[in-house]
This record gives sequence, structure tokens and C-alpha cells, in this order.
Amino acid sequence: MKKIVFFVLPLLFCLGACSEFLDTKSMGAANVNNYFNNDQEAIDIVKILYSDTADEARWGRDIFWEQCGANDVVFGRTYPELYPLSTLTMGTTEKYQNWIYSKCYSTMATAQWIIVHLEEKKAKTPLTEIETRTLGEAYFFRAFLHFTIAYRHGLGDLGVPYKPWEEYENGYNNEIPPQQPSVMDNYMYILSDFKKAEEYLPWKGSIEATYGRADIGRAHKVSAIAYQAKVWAYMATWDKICKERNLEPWKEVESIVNRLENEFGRGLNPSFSQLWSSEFEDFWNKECCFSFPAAGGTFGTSQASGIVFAGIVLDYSGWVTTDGQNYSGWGQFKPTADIYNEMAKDNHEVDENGKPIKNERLAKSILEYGDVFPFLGEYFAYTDMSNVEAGFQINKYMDAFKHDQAVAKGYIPTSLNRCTPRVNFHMIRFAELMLFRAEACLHLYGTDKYGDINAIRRRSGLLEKTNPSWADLYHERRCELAFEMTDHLHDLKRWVVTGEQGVNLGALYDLAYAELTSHPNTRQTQWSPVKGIVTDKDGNVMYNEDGTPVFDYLYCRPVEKGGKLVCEYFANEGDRKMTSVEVDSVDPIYGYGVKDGKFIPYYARRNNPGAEWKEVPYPAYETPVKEWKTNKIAFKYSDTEITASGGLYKQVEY
Amino acid sequence: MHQAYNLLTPLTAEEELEMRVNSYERAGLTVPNAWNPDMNPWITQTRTNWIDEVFRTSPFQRHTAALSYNEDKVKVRFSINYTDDQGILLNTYSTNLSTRFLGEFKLNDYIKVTEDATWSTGKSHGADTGSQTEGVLISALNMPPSATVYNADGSFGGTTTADPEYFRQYGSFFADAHGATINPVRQLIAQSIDGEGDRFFTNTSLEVGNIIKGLKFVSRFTYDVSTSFSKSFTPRRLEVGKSDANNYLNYGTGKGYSWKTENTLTYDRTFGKHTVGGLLATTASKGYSRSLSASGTDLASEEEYLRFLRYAKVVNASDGHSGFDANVAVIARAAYSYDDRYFVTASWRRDYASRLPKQSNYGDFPAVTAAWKLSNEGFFPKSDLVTLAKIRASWGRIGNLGSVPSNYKNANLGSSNELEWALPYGAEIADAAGNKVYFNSALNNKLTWETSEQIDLGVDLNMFRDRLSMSFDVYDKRTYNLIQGQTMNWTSSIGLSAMLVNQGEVRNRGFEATVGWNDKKGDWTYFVNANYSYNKNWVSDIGVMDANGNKGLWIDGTGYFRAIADFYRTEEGMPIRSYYLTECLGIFQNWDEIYSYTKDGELIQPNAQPGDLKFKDRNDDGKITLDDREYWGNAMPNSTYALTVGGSWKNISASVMLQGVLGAQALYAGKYEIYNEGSTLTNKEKRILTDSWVEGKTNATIPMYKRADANGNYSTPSTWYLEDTSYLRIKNVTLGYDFTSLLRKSEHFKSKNASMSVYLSGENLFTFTKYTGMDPEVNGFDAIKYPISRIVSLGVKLNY
Repeated sequence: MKKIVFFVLPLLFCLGACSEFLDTKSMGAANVNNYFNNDQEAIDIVKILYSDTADEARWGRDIFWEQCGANDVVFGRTYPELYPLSTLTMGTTEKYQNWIYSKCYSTMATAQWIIVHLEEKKAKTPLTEIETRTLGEAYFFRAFLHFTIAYRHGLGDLGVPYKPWEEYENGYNNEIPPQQPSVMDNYMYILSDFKKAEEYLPWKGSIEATYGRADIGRAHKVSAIAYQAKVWAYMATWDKICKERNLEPWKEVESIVNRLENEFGRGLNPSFSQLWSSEFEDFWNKECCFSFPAAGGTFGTSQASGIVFAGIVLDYSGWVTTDGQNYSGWGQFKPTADIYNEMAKDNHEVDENGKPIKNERLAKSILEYGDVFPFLGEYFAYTDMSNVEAGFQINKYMDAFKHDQAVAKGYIPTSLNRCTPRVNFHMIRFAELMLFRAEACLHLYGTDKYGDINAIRRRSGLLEKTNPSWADLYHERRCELAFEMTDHLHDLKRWVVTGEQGVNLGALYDLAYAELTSHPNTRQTQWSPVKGIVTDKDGNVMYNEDGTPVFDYLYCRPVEKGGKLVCEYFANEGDRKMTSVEVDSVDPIYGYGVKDGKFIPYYARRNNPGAEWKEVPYPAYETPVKEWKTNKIAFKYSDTEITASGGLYKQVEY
Repeated sequence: MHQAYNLLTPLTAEEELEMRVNSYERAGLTVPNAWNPDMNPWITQTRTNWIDEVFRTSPFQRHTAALSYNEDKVKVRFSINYTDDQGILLNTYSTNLSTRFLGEFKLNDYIKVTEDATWSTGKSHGADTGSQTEGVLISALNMPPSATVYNADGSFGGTTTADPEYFRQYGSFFADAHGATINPVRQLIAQSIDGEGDRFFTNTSLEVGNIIKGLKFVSRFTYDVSTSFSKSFTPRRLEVGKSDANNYLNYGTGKGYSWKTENTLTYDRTFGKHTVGGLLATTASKGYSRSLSASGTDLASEEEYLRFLRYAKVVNASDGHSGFDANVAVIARAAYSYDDRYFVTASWRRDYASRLPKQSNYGDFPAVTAAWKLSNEGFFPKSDLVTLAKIRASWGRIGNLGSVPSNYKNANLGSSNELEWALPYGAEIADAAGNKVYFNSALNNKLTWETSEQIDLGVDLNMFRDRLSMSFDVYDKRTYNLIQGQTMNWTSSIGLSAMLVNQGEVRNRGFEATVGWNDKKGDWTYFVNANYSYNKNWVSDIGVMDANGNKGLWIDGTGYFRAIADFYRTEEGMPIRSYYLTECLGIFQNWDEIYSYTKDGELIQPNAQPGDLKFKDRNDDGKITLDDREYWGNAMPNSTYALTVGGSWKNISASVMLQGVLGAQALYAGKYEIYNEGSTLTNKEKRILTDSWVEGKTNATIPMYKRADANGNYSTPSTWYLEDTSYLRIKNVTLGYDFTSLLRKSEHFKSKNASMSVYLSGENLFTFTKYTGMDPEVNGFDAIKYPISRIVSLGVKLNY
């Protein structure tokens, strides 16, 4: 009868204790009402703010696609779905804009939650040092993400959806955040958040003194102040509203930048190139204000941190060294002939043949055909081999690739899926702030009062401008900050909108307008004799007296076929088939085949770094022509966002 | 034996080259060197038919043996079943072994104990078929036909050659001629995805009866425990295509437990012409599952005997627990019938669920049924013509919480454990990110049961000495308090995942008929069974208002594929999850048609060229925008039907089953992948050449392909993607021969009542449909689904 007892028990148990039986617990998840019990919990919840923001789907790449609407970069591979971005038209496929919009808000929700809960805790008990920092980071990221949405989707007469959760008396009730009447109202919230972040974030005289090795790269007081200057500069776009509200944004910009310089010791790093160094000791100089440092790999493991942008812009085919090391990137953005030519205006020295010598800033920013660059311990001459020929590659983030055995040494990670070559990826640096101050001074005093433009030019060895003008500001901002996450496209938009409100920007308005209504050029190669890095017949690179590899015409190297030495080569321009010829002898130094006392030249296109090229429009962009209308300052909300709001949100009219 | 059929056909290399060159030239683009046969002659020759390489005809076996023993007080049956299924994809299989024990023991006149226990164990070697970028089927379609399965040195081939001599001669392998595709044979052979699973299930019941006449008590206890174990290894892929310099080892193991107890007290008794029945029951159940997974990357050696975590450079592990889920129900039922003529029952149940917040964790679900057996009435003429006539009616409610996760009531922070990647600070140390916590959920404290209320009226009619049996039902089902993620009034600017809400009401009204005829004449027997059902579905209450007080919408977030977005939508009065698409009016045959398609003198489709799709400007604003979309019905078929015909003559038997649906459609989104040259440089399907537009081809069904999509042929969510998926399928044909009489000629077999039969059957032999994809049974959305297989089997059944 024991069995019967066993069966009846569950019945009795249930009748007596149903309520307790149903009170089940979840396992493996922290409860929302019981958090911030220790510092580690604060550290864990703030991680998501950094990792989401630095992810490939945000600042690692996707926010950059829209830059193909300005003329500094083109798509490095064919993306017909994205081409509408390059014509400033929004079709049905602007998925990256929608993606960034919704992801900014979802990351912001965690920042909102942290702020509400830590402020609550702070009202009852003093916060620890880590908790205070966490609160500052939450304010910093809430402002940073809100700012991103505000200037990309907001207009003077139509703000973006936002309401801070602490303004809900009984806690956030899942309501749809109201669209602010003007983007200026959003900016006021953003400024207030950055000021709170400034208050709570630490600063001990320098970045390295503020954070130890495990934390360096977190936002600090200077980061929060630097972004305030940028917010004010964007507020100035809406000049009429500033006047109505008695705001003087450019005065604010001037005084914030002065404060950073005088109180916080910010200034230019003596070397431009060193800003993108692959050595950790160069990362935290006085120019750095906020960045996402990329580690490379941790000494051969797949662990990687930071931004993948450097891997995104590395050529898709990559290069292979003689000892078999190879690395290829994603090749998704390439510079244009337009930005190359703009930067080349600063060349002022010539070599013994009278050819211009490339200025440091251009050399560090762009690789062009035939440029000799170090890669995995060897030298290569740049050529653009991928399907979409543009003729250039971004060079700013290439330093980590120069090292021999770079993967094994940890400069670059093994995984191409998350390619984070070691570089300090600047989000906002003091040079940008100086350019904002220069812009402020041109507005306020009609002159670059602090000499910021020339200071930046001197640093890269460029000739100084006498009495820099609006046109110089355009040139300097475009060239100095090229290919960085400073949003060149939106610089153009805010300048044009400011000009359209009757503010006199001189040539700046015309330059910005011209860029917004034209398509860029790229380089397309012609057939020509092959040039490359010259080696002797044993394969050793030949060097010039100054230590750089010899880059010159290459001739055919013979191979042995049927007991004879023959050269196989493209004999003429446009040849599709190789010609085979028996050689008389082989040159003892260079290893080239000699026939009738001469080296045998061969021709190629594209895979020849020395090929002749011409400037032509980027093929994909010929139609339609870009058009500029004032309201295109704002990206359209996605159709589902408007539908989901049930008519609460107004749409920017197109 | 089974075999995939109706597969798509990829282009040959010659065809791919022709198409690719056309597609660049038609878009006004320079043909890149990679697609110039002189610069890159590798692409000109077909070396592999990738579909043939990955699919095969494979054997399938099932063996069952059963032993039973019947005695007065003890009845026992024991069976064992073994299945071996060699998959239709190369190098895949799954096997399963199960045993079942069924026992019934009468302890005395009052107590009976029964036990039903099943143990099964399975093993499989699988393949990635689901991934939209790395799945074997999509890879086989996308892989260039000029590529080889293996390189000359025996390594797996990539999308291009890997011959260094070729590189020397032509200067490049031209890797970006092709999309990022993985060799599917490599996926099947080199990658190993192994799974194992065991399950033990026991159901024990104790029945106490006969103490008071008609009263019976049953206590039932079930326990279910299952384990799973998986191990997969992905080697490094160094060949061109979609290479990855890392290898990956993944383990997963889990264990699930659940128990349920059911205690039932029933009383059934007949007093003269009155029959009464009563039931009181309680049930309680609880379950949870635990898991542990670990992964390693960068294993030094890829040999099978060294695929263990200790050889990995980086090792991660994570564990999980589903949380406990408990449910309790109390049930009461009363039944009464009079003289086998009138029947009524009424029942009521209350359910409690632990996943709901305490204040709303229970629901009440009543039901009543009534029936009248007309043919038993005195006034009903007794004849062979009508042997049974019965009218039935029922009304009832049932609750559903299926879409609510266990422990929903607990407001938790989300977390993800990222051990593989570091954080963007502390770069010099670059420690693994570890546990990342976030807030993204909105809790609905008022969430309650989704409830279906159904009224059913039915008639059963048997005629001609029961040779004809018919049953007809009409029903009206009202499902209210639908549980769904809130879409309207839930913008992405809220920043949280959509909250679960009880919202709206859906109606289903329909008709079902079953008709059967069977007869026997001499050595002949035959039967015909047919059933037909019709269903109409619509949203009767949308349950949400917009800001102006107008009726709202449900937006379906799953409605996107590549660049086609937002193609499902639900509005009041429309079927649930309707297609919401711009109407495609066909293909522009010439410039005249484009130039005459205007509004106020402006071209409606200014980027169109002959061969592009023409879309309807529904709102008449002179532009094709998302505002031109309309509702185009939904995926659910209006009608489903089946017909089975069979018969036997002496020892030979045969049957045929046909099955089909009418009025169904599907969004064939896969066309974006396989007929669109504006997107990726992968290989395409044969119809891109045979059925696409060229000048004069007025019956083309695919727009002119080109390496651009300025007109939005593919990115416009239009009815071009929508296809009719009505079909008629020869589901099963079986031929059998009964050897029993032959067998029983032997006295030995005869004395044992042995029997034996042999059958040959074919499943899914043929499908009649207009659908252009592989299989019309796709539930309304087809992004290149795994194909259906045709099975031919031979069986022997022996009773001894």
C-alpha cells in the first residue's frame, strides 16, 4: 500500500499550498528591484553602453555609410541597395539609418535606467567612487546617443522624440516619448546631461593619471566637456532660434575650447602621424578627448577590442608577403580623387625632378597608385585590385599592419570577422575643437583669433595661411578630419542650412553647396608598362640611398621551359594573351630577361601600381544628380516608426 | 529510400558569364577584369554542379519488434523500434532507438495499476541548412559553377582557383568576382555537427474502483526527463570565398525535467434510461531545464582525435536555467444522457499559471455540449437507408499562454556573456568582456490568458447499411485577448522590446465535411474517403487606437528579407497577418509604356527602363512610394481537401491518397536572392536566363536583370513576390500483398495465428502547382526553403 500514499500526496500538497507552489523564481537573471549592491554590478551594466556604441553595427562601420553622400569616400564594393544614400535620396532601403536610430534608443534605455536607479540610491546614501563614475558614464552616453539622433533627425521646427525617465513621477510608464517642439529643446537636454557627466566623471590632470591600464578609454570629464562644444556648434545651425532664445552658441564654443586648453591642458600632439600610431604609449596624448581604442589581438588570441573600422577600409584582396603572411580587409570605403586633390593643394615642396612632394597629412591619410607602404614586415606598392576601382585606400589606420608577424605580435587579430587593428580610434580630438573655435571666431570676430587653423597646418608641415578665411576653414576641417567619425556630411549640411538662414559664410556656403550637389571622381587605370618595387634576382628588395625601396619600371623575369629561358609577358597595351619569347641572358642584379641587349617591358592594367590613370566619375553615381533641399538636413524616420507611433510623430516632409 | 525533388537549377559557368556580362553592360557599368574571359579565363568553364554534389538518394530503414503477453490479471506489451535515416544531403544521418513498456496489473477487484514507460535515444550528424548566408542549399545555388570541389592538392576549393601559376600568369585570383560563399561540400564533409539525445518518459496510474458502483478514482503521475548533447566543429577555411582563419569547437548539453500529477474522481452510472456522469479533477505540474555550453577557438590541430577543449587557445563556457514553470488546474464536469437519444455535458476548469503576475494568474474556462440522436427516436423510420442520424452542438472556451515565457512575471535585467571579445576600453589588457547587463524589457502586470471561444454545430449521418458515413460541422471561433508584442503605440524610440499585451480579437468561421464509402463484394473490398474544410479568418477587433482615435494596426516586425521590408500588416476586417504590398502591373515592354505612365505630365516611374516592373500608383500622387501598398490576403489556405481511394482483391491491396489546398499564397522572397543581379555577385538560378525580360519577350515573368536596381524592381515590396501556392499532391500510393494465407499453410504458423504482409509505398510522388519555388508548402514565406523529399519504401509486417 505504500504506492497509494505516494500517489495521494501530490493531491494534498496542492490543495494546501498552491500559492507557494506557483510563486516560482527565475534563475540566472538579476532582478530590476535589487541591483547596484556592489561596484561590480555597476561595472557590468555600463559595459553595454561602450560595446554597443563601438560595435560594427554602429560607430564601427554602419553610421559611416551615409558619408558616401558627401564627396570624401565612395563605396569600395558594389552595393546597389545603398546607392540612394549617395544621392541624398531616401528610398525604401535606408536600413542602416533605421537601424542606428533604433539602436541608439535601445542603448539609451539602459543609460536611462542606470540614471534613475543610481540617482535614487544617491538620494539615500552616498555613492562609491565607481558608482559615481558609472552615473557619469550613463549621463555621458545618454547625451552622446541622444545627440546623434537629434542632429541627424531633428530640425529647428521639429525635434526628436525624447523625455528623460527621471521626469516621470512614478517611474517610466512605457509611454511613447514626445517629439520635442524644436531640436533646440533636445540640445538643451543633451547639454544638461553632458554637464552632469562632467560633474560625475573623473579627471586627475591627464588621461593616464585618471585611469589605470584596465580602464583607460572610458569617458572622462574632458570627454563630456568636449562634446558640449560640439553640441553648441550644431545649435548655431538654427541661427534664428538662437537669437529668439538669446543664445550665443559661438561664444559658448569659444569659452569651452579655451577652458579645455587652459584648465585641462588639451592641445595638439606635436606629430600628426603619431595620432594613429599602433603603439600603446602613443595613445593617450594631450590631443585625445574621447576615443575607442582598438587593441589588435591579445597576443595571438582571437580576443579583440574597440573599433573595426580599420579592418573595414583595408583592401578586400589584401597583400601576401614572400614568407606567406597575408591579410585582407573588407574594402568597403575608398577615398575619392576629390579629397585627394583637396589635400594635395597643401603640397609645397618639389623633388629634384620638379614633382611635388606629398605633404605629411596627405601621405598619412591616403594611399594612391604606386605609393610604397610597409605591410607585414615587407614593402608593397599600392594598387587597387578590387572590382570597384577607385584608385585609393584610406591610410590613417594602417600603422598596425606594418609590423612583421603582426598577428603573432598582437597588433592585428586573427579573426577577419572582427578586425580591430591596434589604433586609438579618435571620436573627438582637440584639433576638431580648435577648428570649431576657429569657426566661432570667424563668426564672432571675422578672424581666426587664436591662430587655430595655422597651428594645425604647422603641425603637418604645411604653409601657413595669411588671415584664414571661410574657404580655409572648409579646406582645413575637411582635410584634417577626413575619414574620421566627425561627420563631414553633416558639417556640409549645417553650413548650407546656416547660410540659407541669411548668415554670411562667404565662400564656405558655396563650397559646401557644391559638394552636396555633385558626385565625386575616382581614378581608373589605363594600360601601361608595369611599375613596382624592384628586387634583385634573388628576390631581395633594392633600396634607395634614403632607405626607401626602389619603385620603378619592372621588366619580365624569365622562367625555364623545355630547357630554355623564356619570358612570358603582355607585349602591348591592351593585350589579353601573353607573348612568349626566348631571352639571350638574365641580368645579374635585377634578374630581368635580356633580349637584344634590352630588358623586356610588359604591360598591365589595374594590378600594376604604376599604371597610368585618369580621373572619372565613380561609375555607380552617374545618375541621378544629387539635389540639395533644406529639409534634407534630417534623415527621414522609418515608415514603421511613424506607423508605430499611431500618428503622434510628425514626419519630415520630402 | 528518399530523394529531394523539384530542386532549383543553378546556371552553368557559360550561362553565368553570359548573364554577368549582360548585367554589367545593361547597367552601363564597365565589365570588371574579373568577368573578362581573357583576363580571367577560369570563369569560362563549368567544373561543378553544386546541387548534384550536395544532394543524394539515400536509404531509410525502420524496424519494429513487439512482444505481448496477455493474462487475466497481467497484460504486458514490450516493443522496440529502430530507425536509420541517411539524409538526402551528403554525409548526414540520424538514427533513433526506442523501447516502450506497457503493463497493466490488476492487484485485486478494486485496484489496477498501469505503467507506460518509453525510453529513446537518438544520434544525428547534421548540416547547417537554415542559415540564410551559410546554409548548404543557398551556398550550392550561390557557388560559382567554375569552382572545383577540391583543389589540385586535395584541399577544399574556394570560389576561385588557388593555383599559384594562375596567379602568376593573370595577376590575381579575382576573388571579388564572386560573392562571399562557402563551398557547400566542405560544409557537409569538413564541418561536423553531431547531436545526441535521450528521453525517458513514464506514466504510472493507479485506479481504484468498484467500491461504490460507478465511482472511480484515478491518480496518474508522469515524469519526463530528457538530455541533449551536441558537439560541433568548424575547421579553418583558408580558401577564397568566405574564409575564416579560426576554427571553432562548440559543445552544448542540457537536461530537462518535468512532472505532472493528475487526480481524478469520476462517477458514471445508468439508472434505467438515465445515464449520469460526473468528474472532479486536479492537476499540478512543474518543469525546468538546465544547460551548459562551452566553446573553444584556435585549436592547434584539427584532427578529430584532438578536437577537445584543452587544445583550444580560447575557451568560453556559459550555463543556463530556464527557471521553474508551474501550473495547477481544477476541473469539474457533469454529463447526462437519456435513452441514448439526448446528451448534455457541462464542464468548468480553472487554470493557474506561475508565469503570470500573481494578481491575474488564473483563468476560468467553461464548456457545454448537447446532442440528439434522431435515429433512435420512435418516430424515426427504421430502414437500411438511414442507419444513424445525430445532431450535435457545443460551446466552450479554452485558454492559451504558449507565447508567454516562463517566469514572465519577474522583472529582470537582461544579460549576455561575451567571453570572446573585449571591451573598447582597457585596450592594453583587453580582457574578455564577461557579463554585460542591460535593461530592455517592459513588464505587463495585467497579462492574462488568450482565450478561444468556439461554437460548433454538427450532423452525423450514416446511410445504406452504414456503407456511407458522413459528418458535417460548421464552427465559429472567436479568439480574444490575443497575446502579442505591442506594435502600435510602441515605437523604437521607447528603446525597450515590445511589451506583451492582450490585444484584439480574431474570428475563424468555417465548414468541415467528411464523407466515406466502403463496401465489400466477394473478394473485392474498396473504400473512398474524402474530407474538405473551408475556413475564413479576419480580425474582428484590432484593439488599438492611434493618436486621433482611429482604429490602429498590428505591424509585423518579422516581415523583412534583405531589402524588402514591412510586408505584413494587420488591420481590422482583414485576415490576420495580411500581405501589404504594392501592386505590380507587369513589365514595361517599351519606352512608350514608360512615357505614357504619367501623372500631370510627370513620369510616375522616372528611373524605369523597358524590362523593369510597373507598379500601381494607388494613392495617385505621381510617385511610387510605400504609401501605394494595399492588402493582398494572407497565407492561410481557404480550403484544404484530401481524398483517399483504396481497395483490395483477395490478398492484393492498393491505396492512393491525394491532398491539396486552395486559395493559399506565399511571398517568395528567395527571388530577391536568385533572380536579382543588383545585389550580390553570387550565381543565380536558371530562370534568370529563360524567363527574364528581353525585348519582344512579352510573356517574361522576371524583370530584365542588370547590375543595378534604380527602378526598385527588387527592393519594392510588391506583388511580384506573391505567388499562388494552391497545390494538389499525390501524398501516398501503397501497394500491398498479404501472405497470411500462404503462411498459414504451415501448421506451425497457423497454430500461432501468424500473419505476414508486404507493402511498397511512395510518398510525395508528385505535386501539381503553379508555384515557381521548390515546394508550395511554405507557410506563406519562402526564402529558399529546404526541399521536400520523395520517399519510396518497402515494408514487411510479420505477426507471430
